[in-house]
Amino acid sequence: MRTTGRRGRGLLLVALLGALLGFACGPDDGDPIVVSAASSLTDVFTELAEAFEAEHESTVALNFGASSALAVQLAEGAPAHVFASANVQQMAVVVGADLAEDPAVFAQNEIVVVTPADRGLIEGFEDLSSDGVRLVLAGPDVPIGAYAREAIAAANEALGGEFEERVLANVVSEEANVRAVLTKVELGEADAGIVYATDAAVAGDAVEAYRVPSEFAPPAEYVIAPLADAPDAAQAFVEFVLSEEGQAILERHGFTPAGG
Amino acid sequence: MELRSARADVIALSVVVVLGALFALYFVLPLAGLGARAASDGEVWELASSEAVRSALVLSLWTSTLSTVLAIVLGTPVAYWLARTNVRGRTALDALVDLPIVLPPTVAGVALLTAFGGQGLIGGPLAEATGIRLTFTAAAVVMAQFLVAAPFYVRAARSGFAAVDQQFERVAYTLGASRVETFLRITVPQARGALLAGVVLCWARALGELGATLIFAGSLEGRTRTMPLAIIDAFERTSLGLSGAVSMSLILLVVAFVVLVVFRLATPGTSSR
Repeated sequence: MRTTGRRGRGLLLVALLGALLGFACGPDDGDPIVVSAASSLTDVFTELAEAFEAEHESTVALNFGASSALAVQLAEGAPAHVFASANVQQMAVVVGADLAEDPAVFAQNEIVVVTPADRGLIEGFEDLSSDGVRLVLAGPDVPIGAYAREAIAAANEALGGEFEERVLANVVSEEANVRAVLTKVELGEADAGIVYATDAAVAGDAVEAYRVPSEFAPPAEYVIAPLADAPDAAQAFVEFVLSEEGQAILERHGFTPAGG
Repeated sequence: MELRSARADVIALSVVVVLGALFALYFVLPLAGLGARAASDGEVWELASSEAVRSALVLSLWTSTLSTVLAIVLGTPVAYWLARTNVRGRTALDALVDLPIVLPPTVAGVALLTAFGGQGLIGGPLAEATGIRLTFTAAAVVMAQFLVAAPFYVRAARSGFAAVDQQFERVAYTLGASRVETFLRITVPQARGALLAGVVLCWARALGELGATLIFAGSLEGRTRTMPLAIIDAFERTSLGLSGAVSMSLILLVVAFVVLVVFRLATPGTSSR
């Protein structure tokens, strides 16, 4: 009696484990296309993936991070089928590793300074050099970090000799990606950060955004490419992003369409 | 019958050996990976002496040491009290002290922000009254490490104190020793092994702290970027890249190894365990 009870419990355990395993593996409708995309694309690519899945057989798995971090992962052999980078340099890393070719520009984005909504300390890019401003940037190789430093360097001459030095002295943290910068500003921990216009829009009323003058910061360019040995569906996803429908979704999220 | 059980023994033994070997292999392979990468990649050695690595190591060493000292100073009375008291609710207090051990450090980071951040419970009024803001400072690094690591010391010290025979303490009192004297000359020496183990665990945990620091203290070279943060940063940056991450991982490995050896030498009783 006792042994059967135990055996019964054992069987139940095995069944439960099996169910868990089955659950973890999910419905088996083919391997998904893995898309590694820049952090700033988090919201728009989630919607793009849903729209793509609605029209195609394949599913899409999204992996967001700083383009620089994604490029390192890809170069080290991380399995992915599409790479969408927030600048040309990080795509060049992946192309240089023979993992992608012929990347296409699919969107543009504006660079903005964001501040917590209730803090009147800063009212534009020029104020970043004021004393005591706690500025948060992304790391220098993260695309938005590179764009921000280029803009600060470009403004140096126009805004007085020590602008760059003073702004960089105000940096209190270098974050891993653009969304981490945004969060630190949203929380009010930082007085200012530099992000994309689309990120500022995601944060809504929590932050105030000031456009970085275009003579200092030309728009950011996003590039996309299918990766080596990717299934045909990966090419289809890239084409979808560049299609009229994909471009309309990008535009709705505040990006400037660039493909067609 | 006997033969059967002997065979069962052999089978059991081989299973144990195979499982043990798999376990050991799994722990050795990652180290071998680091070594192989370092041997084939000259940049690893070059980066080891770079300013970024040096400043991260210095910051890591002093912050983790300070956190550990704070854990000893603030944690020892609590540990002693927890080991001796029988008040109701002691179990709840025990659990409270242990909580950071169970929680992911990222939770500790978010919790610290809500308490000591610029808009936090204490941080808000503090910033308003004095202008002092803790986030993004080395103080924030120490606070993150302390919250996550100190429970390891308190836990070990509590068990150490609990294992000390109270007879000795009573004898000391009857001989006229004061409470402080008794504690320092009787209790502490007897709990020495446990206390040292706690110190090493606490220090190692502080040295490895990543999640809470990243969230609460941010990451800036020379100010808040400790070794674990620098490794993440190196990995995510193409300029330092994996070579930089490997370089710093090896340095931390050597530091950890030296500390473990020193610890073993300092506690002869525990090395033969």
